[in-house]
Amino acid sequence: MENIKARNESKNYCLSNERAAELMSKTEKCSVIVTPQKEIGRECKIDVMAAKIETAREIKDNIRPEKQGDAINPEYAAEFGESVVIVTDRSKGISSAANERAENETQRLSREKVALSRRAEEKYNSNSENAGER
Amino acid sequence: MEEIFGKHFSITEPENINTVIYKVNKTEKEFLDKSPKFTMERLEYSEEYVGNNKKKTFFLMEPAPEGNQLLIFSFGKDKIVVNNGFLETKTNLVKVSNTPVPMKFQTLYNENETEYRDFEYTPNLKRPITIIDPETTEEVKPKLYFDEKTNEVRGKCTLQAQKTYVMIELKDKKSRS
Repeated sequence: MENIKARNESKNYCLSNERAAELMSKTEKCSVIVTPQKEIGRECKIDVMAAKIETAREIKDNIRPEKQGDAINPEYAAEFGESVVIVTDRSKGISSAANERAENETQRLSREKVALSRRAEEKYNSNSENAGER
Repeated sequence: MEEIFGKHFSITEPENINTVIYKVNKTEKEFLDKSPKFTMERLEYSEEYVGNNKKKTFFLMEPAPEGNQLLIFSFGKDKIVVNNGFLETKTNLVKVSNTPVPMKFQTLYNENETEYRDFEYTPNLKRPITIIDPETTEEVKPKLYFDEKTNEVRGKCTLQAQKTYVMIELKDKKSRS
């Protein structure tokens, strides 16, 4: 089978260890936390589809030429709007949105740590303002 | 010394899971007549093994001052989990939603030999669609060429017939299409 990578444009997003170490020293580290969807801002809708290439049918009588040729046929779609909507092709199967899960201990500790840090910062800022007024 | 402004964050992947993350960029108003309102940019990453799991560190360069929306795709053996996140630039915090969406594919992996076909695909710059091969998690980007017969720039990419690909499009929240 011929190498398809040579025919499509491609880019390697995996960095070498040296380049990664260099970027880590120059960029700021971020903490990762899991939160309810409502706490995450969303600016755009995201349509995600699974699509399959259908090869061209054989040329037959009474089929218009423009109907021939390959086509991308969408099978499933997931739309992230105000809520998640799943559109499926029932002949292929069903996808469904995951139910919101109760957070585990690690997630709870992580969320509380962030909240504590914010309260401490607000308290510090408040104290600084009061000290400035005196 | 090269000046870089960016952020990095790490996640841990279980065995046989491959995670890809995109950041969403919002086009500035002066360029909206020629470009779409939102574009997505794949993040570069590094990886190291920790036991049976893989620790992946993603790098997000030039974050927007107000933060960046993140799209997280986790490719597994027979399904893809799609999730939503947000990087807060000021607080150095990456928030990931606790309600990911799983998508299953019946034709994700095909053991039979099928042919690869050239597919005419001229990208619409106002409506960009990202195509991902779920097996390799690589983007399928068309190669552009100049068609002398029609005197226009067209695109062509090579795709495998009867194989399922993942296609992603970003739209304005107000869009009804």
